[in-house]
Amino acid sequence: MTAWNKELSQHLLSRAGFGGDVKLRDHFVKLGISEAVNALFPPDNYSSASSPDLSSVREMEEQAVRILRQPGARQKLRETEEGKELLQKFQQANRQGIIAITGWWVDEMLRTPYPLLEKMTLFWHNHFTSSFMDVKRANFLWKQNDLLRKNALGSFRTLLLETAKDPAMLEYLDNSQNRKEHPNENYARELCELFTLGEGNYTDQDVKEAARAFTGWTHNPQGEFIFRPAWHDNGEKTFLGRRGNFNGEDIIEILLEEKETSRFLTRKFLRFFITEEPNSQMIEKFADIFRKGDLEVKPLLKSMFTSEEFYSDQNRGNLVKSPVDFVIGTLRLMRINFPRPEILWGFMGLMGQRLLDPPTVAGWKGGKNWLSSSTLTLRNDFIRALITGEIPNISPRGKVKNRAKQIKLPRPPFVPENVLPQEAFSNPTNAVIHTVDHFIGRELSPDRLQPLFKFAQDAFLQEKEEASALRRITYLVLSMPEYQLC
Amino acid sequence: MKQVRKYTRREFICAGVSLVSGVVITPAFLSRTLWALQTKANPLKTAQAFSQPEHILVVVQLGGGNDGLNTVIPFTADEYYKSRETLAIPQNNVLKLSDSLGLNPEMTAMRELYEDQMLAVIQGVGYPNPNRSHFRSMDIWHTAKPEDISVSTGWLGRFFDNACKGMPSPSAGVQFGVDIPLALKGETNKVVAISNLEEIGWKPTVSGEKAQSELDALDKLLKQRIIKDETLFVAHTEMDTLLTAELVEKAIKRGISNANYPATEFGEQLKGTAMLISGEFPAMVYYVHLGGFDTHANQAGRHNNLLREFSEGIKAFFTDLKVSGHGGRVICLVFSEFGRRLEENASGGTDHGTVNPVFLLGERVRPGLHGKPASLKREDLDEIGDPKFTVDFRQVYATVLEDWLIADSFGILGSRFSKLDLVES
Repeated sequence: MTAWNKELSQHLLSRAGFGGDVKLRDHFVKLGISEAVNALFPPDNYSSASSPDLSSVREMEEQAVRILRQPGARQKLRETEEGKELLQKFQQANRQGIIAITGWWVDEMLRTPYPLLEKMTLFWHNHFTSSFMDVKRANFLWKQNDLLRKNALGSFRTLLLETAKDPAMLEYLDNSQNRKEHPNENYARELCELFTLGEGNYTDQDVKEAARAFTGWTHNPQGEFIFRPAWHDNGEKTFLGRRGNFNGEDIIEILLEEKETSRFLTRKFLRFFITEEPNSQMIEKFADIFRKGDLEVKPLLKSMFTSEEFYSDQNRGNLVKSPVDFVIGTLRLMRINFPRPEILWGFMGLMGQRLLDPPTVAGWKGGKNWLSSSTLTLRNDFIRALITGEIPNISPRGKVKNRAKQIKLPRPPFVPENVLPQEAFSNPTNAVIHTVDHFIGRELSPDRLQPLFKFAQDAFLQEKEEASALRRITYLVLSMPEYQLC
Repeated sequence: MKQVRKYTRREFICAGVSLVSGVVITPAFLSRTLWALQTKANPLKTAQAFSQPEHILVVVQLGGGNDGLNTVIPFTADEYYKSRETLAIPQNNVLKLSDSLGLNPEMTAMRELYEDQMLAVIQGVGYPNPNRSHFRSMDIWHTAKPEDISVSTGWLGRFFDNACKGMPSPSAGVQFGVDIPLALKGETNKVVAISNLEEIGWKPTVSGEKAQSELDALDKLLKQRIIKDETLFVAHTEMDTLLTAELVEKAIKRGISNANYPATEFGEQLKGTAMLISGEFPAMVYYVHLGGFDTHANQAGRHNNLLREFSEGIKAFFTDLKVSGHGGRVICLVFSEFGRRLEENASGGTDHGTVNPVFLLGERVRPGLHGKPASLKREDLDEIGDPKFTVDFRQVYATVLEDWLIADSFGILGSRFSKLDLVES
């Protein structure tokens, strides 16, 4: 590997977090590679100081649970005026709850001292997916997010077992309704296909047998896991060549023993952190490390972040930023405290990544799929909004409301003086050099900068204040193809 | 003779790009950029203009695995009623198409299209060794190569590659939504993804003369020689965006749409398609989506709502096209990645299955029932309990490619598939 320097440290910060500004980058250079990698990981007992405010949802839920205990309650809820009103309030509270969770999460990503933890929580949200479109209970979705974040850097074994019993997952993939008479295959199939082995490494018969093993796994109205013996199929099952009276835990144990599971997960890690097309040699190397570490995430990531492959020329500046990377990374680099996180959630949604609402159970496709005419337009609109203060009026659900009614902030959120050094304001050439260094942080060839130098000269002439020129130069730098990549 | 006709026709329909020497209709800024990049050393090709294609294909994807058995109902089959205690549609409610098949009662709008001779139903469509993964099966339908997992191009992408060789156009196809589906991916990209017709392009931070210097700078940044593949990919996508923005703006000024669409995303996508077609946008293929068909639990109400939305949307779309006078230019192909299990499960839903009907719609389709329904008899089901296919979906593709898009299906599908009689000549 080439010597540890500011470019490699910048690379580590962008991939393992949401990017780093000049200061953080220099700090990481001083630490040296192994201390820098260690500094990414939170202490074992770490948890965020705050959590989303779900008090109104909880209050509604307690009411609902009390009512549901009464005989004939379900009918009453559906058929009486009073019941209908209560249901409506319940749904309303849950919708607000979703906004509370996503707003909190976006805010946490902006402020956290441990961006890697948020990135890995997102990784697992994209693996063990659930959507509020199907799971309409905010409390369940928060429970799932909390489960993913607590184990994000921990054991895959724990994650697999605990998500199988998680109420949002039980709802999302219908296992809560899986009974022995006619098993529901939804969860069992995705467990094999998307959570462990990958397509092609099991048969449809295996899916049917696994579905039988998970019969009776459900939850109560409060969202606690319960096992209903009367719904469970106690018969013998044949799964991946093994025979026995398997239950859900047994199926999960068998899946964890399979080498394919470690390969499938490792490939996904590599695609997330290193390259869209990992070769089989890379997959074998890291899958081996993953298995030797008993499927613990932290040691695997440490070995990845210190590997030759991670820092090779071809694997730098080759991954398309996700909408979350793009939005959070930009705000962090601009040091903007955005007051309305739900607008950011809406923006990310329009860019193709609405948190708590993956497009399918397979999550977001990612990689080059993030970019299209439609999403690129939105990405540039977002930057433009920060530069000009003209914010499109986006609903939390991610629809652009009446264009004419855009929000005009009294002053632009992006203040160049807050992030760029004094020198940047001295002349057009310095303006370009510092803006590129701060926002892209990779060496660009001199001819790549020519159009920017030319533009910077115009902008310095056209604007009375250097800060206005710097804002426009920043817009151009952030419109460069290089800014979409990390 | 046929060769010649085919060649000129293909030239013409290819994204509506035709050679008109000396005329440049696209704004100079964009055309310079685009041609410089994509036509490289052939200055003769820089003089091109866009015109509209003669034949247009609109693909409607029903995502999640539509329950074909509750869409086109075999209302005389005992096996259907025995296997679906709670979900079967009673015989009396079915909207009859023949003495044994009928539509789901929510599909009255579709039934009207049937009466207007605009609907062809191809029955029992599937492929050998059915795959019950959403994602693999969807890929199979998109690539049209069930046996090869490494294919990264789609059947329509390869059509663009074949039919539009050497012709630069990012607008041969339009995907509604944020990302381009595999079906439309070719060796080079000729497709744009649009989620909102009014929100596409790149806006300067200021107006007037100052804006021009921003636009010029962006132009230069995109035009420059770029070495890294990934960066070049982003630059191309950005340029496609700019060119499309101009074309879309023109098209929506001319486009007409007055019909009543469902107030949903699917409705908006169809309305957008009608606008672009009547506004003479140059695309040959449009791709629209309706999702939510993965009905493992509590299927009945949800599925009915989806079928109503689907039928009413399609009906509105063809009403629009009739009014704008473009009906004869459009055929609409409707598919889903798989059907669902004959036997319902204990949660009032159905699990992943195999065969499904495919719909083809338009003034130029040969209306009625095609193919052979799959047998539901126990002894005819596969080992998982699903019916076996009678028509390979690639037969439908071959027909659409040859008889509607006037292309050589062999080159695109890699094999010769016997065509069906689906398109009026």
